[in-house]
Amino acid sequence: MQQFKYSEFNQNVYQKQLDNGLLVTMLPMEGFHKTYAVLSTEFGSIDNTFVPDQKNELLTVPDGVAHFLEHKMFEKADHDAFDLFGKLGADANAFTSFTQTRYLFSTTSHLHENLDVLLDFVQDPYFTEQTVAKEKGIIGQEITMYNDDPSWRLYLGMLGNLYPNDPMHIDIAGTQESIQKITAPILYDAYRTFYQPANMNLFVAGRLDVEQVLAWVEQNQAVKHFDAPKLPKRTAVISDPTANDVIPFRTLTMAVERPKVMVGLRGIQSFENGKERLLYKWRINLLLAMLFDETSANFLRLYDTGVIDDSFNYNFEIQRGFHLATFSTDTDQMEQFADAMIQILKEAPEQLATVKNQFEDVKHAMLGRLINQLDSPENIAMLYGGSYFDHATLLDEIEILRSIDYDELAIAIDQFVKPERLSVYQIVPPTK
Amino acid sequence: MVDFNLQPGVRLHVEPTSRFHVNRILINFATPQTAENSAARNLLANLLETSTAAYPTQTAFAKALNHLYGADASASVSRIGYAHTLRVRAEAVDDRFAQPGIFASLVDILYQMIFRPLITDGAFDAATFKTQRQNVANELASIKENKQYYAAWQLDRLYYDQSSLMRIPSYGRLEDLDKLTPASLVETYYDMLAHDQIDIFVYGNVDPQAVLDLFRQWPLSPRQSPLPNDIYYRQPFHHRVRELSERQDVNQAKLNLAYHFPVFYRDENYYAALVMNGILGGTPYSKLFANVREKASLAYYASSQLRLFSSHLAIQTGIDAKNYHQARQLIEAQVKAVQQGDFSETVMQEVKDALINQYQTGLDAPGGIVEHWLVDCMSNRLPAENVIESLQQVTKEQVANLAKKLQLQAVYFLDGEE
Repeated sequence: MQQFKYSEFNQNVYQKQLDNGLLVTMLPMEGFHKTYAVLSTEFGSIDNTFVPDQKNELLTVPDGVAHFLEHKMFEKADHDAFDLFGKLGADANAFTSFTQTRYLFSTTSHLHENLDVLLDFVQDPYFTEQTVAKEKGIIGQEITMYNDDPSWRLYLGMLGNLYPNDPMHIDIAGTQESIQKITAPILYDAYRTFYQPANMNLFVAGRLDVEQVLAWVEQNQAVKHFDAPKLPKRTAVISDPTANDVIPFRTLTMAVERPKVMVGLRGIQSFENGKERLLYKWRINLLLAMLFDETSANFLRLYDTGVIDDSFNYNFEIQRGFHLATFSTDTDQMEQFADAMIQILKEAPEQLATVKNQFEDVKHAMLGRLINQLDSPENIAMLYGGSYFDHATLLDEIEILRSIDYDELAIAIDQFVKPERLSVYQIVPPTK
Repeated sequence: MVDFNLQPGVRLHVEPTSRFHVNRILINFATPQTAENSAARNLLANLLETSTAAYPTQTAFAKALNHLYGADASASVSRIGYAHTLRVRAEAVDDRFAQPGIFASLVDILYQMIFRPLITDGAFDAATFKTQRQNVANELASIKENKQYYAAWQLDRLYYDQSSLMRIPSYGRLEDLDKLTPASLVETYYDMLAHDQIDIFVYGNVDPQAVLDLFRQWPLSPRQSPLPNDIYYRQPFHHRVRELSERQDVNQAKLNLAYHFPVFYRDENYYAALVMNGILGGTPYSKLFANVREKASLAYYASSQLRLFSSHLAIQTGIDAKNYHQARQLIEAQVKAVQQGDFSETVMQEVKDALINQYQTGLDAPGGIVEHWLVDCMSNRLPAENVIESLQQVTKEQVANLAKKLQLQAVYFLDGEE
C-alpha cells in the first residue's frame, strides 16, 4: 500500500491496486462520524462504440446504455440493493456522466457490511428481458423531464454546436428512440467490457481505519472470480480533432420566462498525463476568474447595463477526450451578451495584463475554496477524477493550483482561446 | 462552549475546534415578528450583504472577500417561533492554511457590513436600494412558481388563526415592500442595531479570549431583549377543520393537511415526537411513504414535517386530482394507525437508526452545527447531550400516546385548471 503525506493539512492518502486490477484509494478524516464510499467505472454515455469483452469486432450500442445499466444494477432477482443499504442505515445513490458511472453510499455505522453491499451489487449483474422492458418506461419519463429543463437544453444545445458529430451532444440518458433498442444482451456486453476491476476504482473518505478497510475489500474480492486484468478497447471519441465542424450559431424556441443564451469554446489540446491535464484546468480556471468573476470590471459593467444578472455563470470542464468552457445568462440582450463574451475572449491577453495585480487574490480565493472542500467527505470523493487524472485527489489539485504563476496563464490562452472554436446557442420564448 | 456577555442583551458564544479547515461566524439579530417588520428586515439583509461604505459596489466587496482566501459573507432572514431573526454569516479558511490575520480581517468585514453600511445623508444608496428591492420582489414573486413550497405555505396560513402574526411570512409580503424607502430602511437598521437581542457564535480554530478582545471593540449599546421568555407559538385547538381549495395551471395536484400537535423543540416529548414523525412520514420507512406513495401509488411524494415552534405537524402530498378522496382517506388512516400503535418494532428501530445517522452526519457539518446552537440559544436550551440514548429509549407506547395528540385542523388542496 502506498502512502502520500500532506503534512501541511495533516492528511494522508493511501492507495493500493489489488491483484484483480481494482484501485482502492482511502482518505481518513480525523474526528468525522461519516464515511463516504464511491465505486466508479470509466464508462459513460460517450462510450458507445467498443470491442465487447471476449469478441473481436467493434460494436456500436444505442445511446443511453451506461445510464440504463446504472439503473438496472440495483435490481436483483429477489431484492433491491437500495433496501439493503437502507436496512444498514446508509444512504445510497448513483450517477452517470459522459465518461463515468459512479455508485456510492454514506453511512455512520456498519461500514464493513455497507462496503460489501456496494461491491457485491455492482459486481453481480442481473438483467432479464422483463426487467429491461419495465425500465424503459421509467427512463423514458426521466428523459421527458430533462427535456423540460431549459438549463439542461441550453447546455446540450451548446454541446451539439461544439461536437455536432460526437456522442456528447446526446442526453446522457439517451433518447426515447435509442432506449427502445436496449436489450439484456447489450447490457451484458457493456457490463463485461467496462465493469472489469482494472477499469474501476473505489474511493473511501471520512471515518475509517485504513488497514481494516483494505482488508475488508481484499476479502470481498478474493472470493470472486475475475479474468486477468485488462482495459476495454474503445474508439477514439472525437471524429474531427481539428474542430472544423463547430457550428457557430443555433436557436431553440421553448417556453421560458426570459431568453437564455450560452457562449461556448471548444478546446483541442491533447495531453501526456493527468498532471498536465490538471495544470491546464487550473490555469484556465484562473484565467476565466480574472476575466469574468464577480470581482472583474467586465462583470460590473455587464451587470450595471443589465446585460447579465445573478443568473450569469461560467464554467470550464475537462473530461476524458474533450474539454470546453461555457458562459451563460438569462437576458433580454442576447446579442450584447454574446458579443461581450467573444470580445473579452478575443482580447484575453490585453485584458489579462490590465488585471495582473489581481492575480494573487484570485488565486488565493480559488485555493481557499478548494481547502474549504477538505471539510466534506462527499466533496472530496466526488471531486476525485480517477485514472484520466492519474488518480489525483483534492490535495494534489491544491498543490497544482498553488504552483501556478501569472506567466503561465499566457500558455493557457495560447492553447485554449481560439475565436474560430467559439459558438453561440440561445433559447427564446415563442413569439405571442 | 465559552459564553461572554458583551453588553446586556448581547452575547458572544465561542466554541474552539481544530477539526475543520474553515472558521465560521454567525451573528443573529432577533426581535418579535410584527405586522410590518419582516419585509423591511429582508430587504435590509439584502442591502447589508451587497455593499458597505468601504466596499461600495458588489465588485469591491467581492474583491475584499477574495483577498481573504475566498471568504464568504452573507445575510438573510428567518423565523424561530415568534422571533424574527436577521442572520449575518461569514466564513474563511483558517490562518494556518492561508496567512496570519485572516480571522481578524473576517471580523473586520463583518464590522463593515454591520456598522458601516452604504448610507449617506440618512438614506441607503438609491441605486443599490432600487436594484435590491427589485431582487427581493422577484424572489417573492417566484415563490408561487415552486408549487410544492407554495402549497406548504398556503397550508400554514390556513392553519394559523386570522389574527395571528404568523400568517405573515418571515421574508415579508410584496405589498409591504412597496412602502419601503431608502430612508425608512435606515430607521429599520438603527432600530435593529439598538434594540434587537444579539447573539454572536464563533466556531473554529480560535482562542476565546482573543475572540472576545476583537468583539469587545464593537460599539454595541446595552439593551433589554425585546423577546418574550417563551418564543414558541402556542395556538389553541379549534373544533372546525378549515378547508381551502385553489385552482392553478398545474399538472400535479397538491393535498396538504395540518394537525394540531402541541409538542415543542426540546420539551419532554421532543425525542418521542421525532420518532413518531419518522414513523408517520419523515423517513423512507414511514407509513405515508410505504402505503400512500409506494403500495397504493397514489402520490408522487408523501411526507410529514414537525413544526416544533408553532404547535403543529404538516403532511404534504403530490397527487392526481381525481384521487383526492382516496388519498385523503388513506392519509388519515395512516395517522390513525400510528395512534393505535399499528407499527412494528423493526420499523421503529429503522426509524431510530435513520435519525441517529442523520444526527451523527450533522456533527460533520460545521455550518449546520452553528445554526443548531442558535436555535438552542433562542429556545433557552443548552446544546443537546445524550441524543442517541434519548432516541433509543423512546418506546412504542410513548409514540402511540403522543400520536393521539394529533388532531386535524386544516386541509389545503391545490387543483389543476379544468
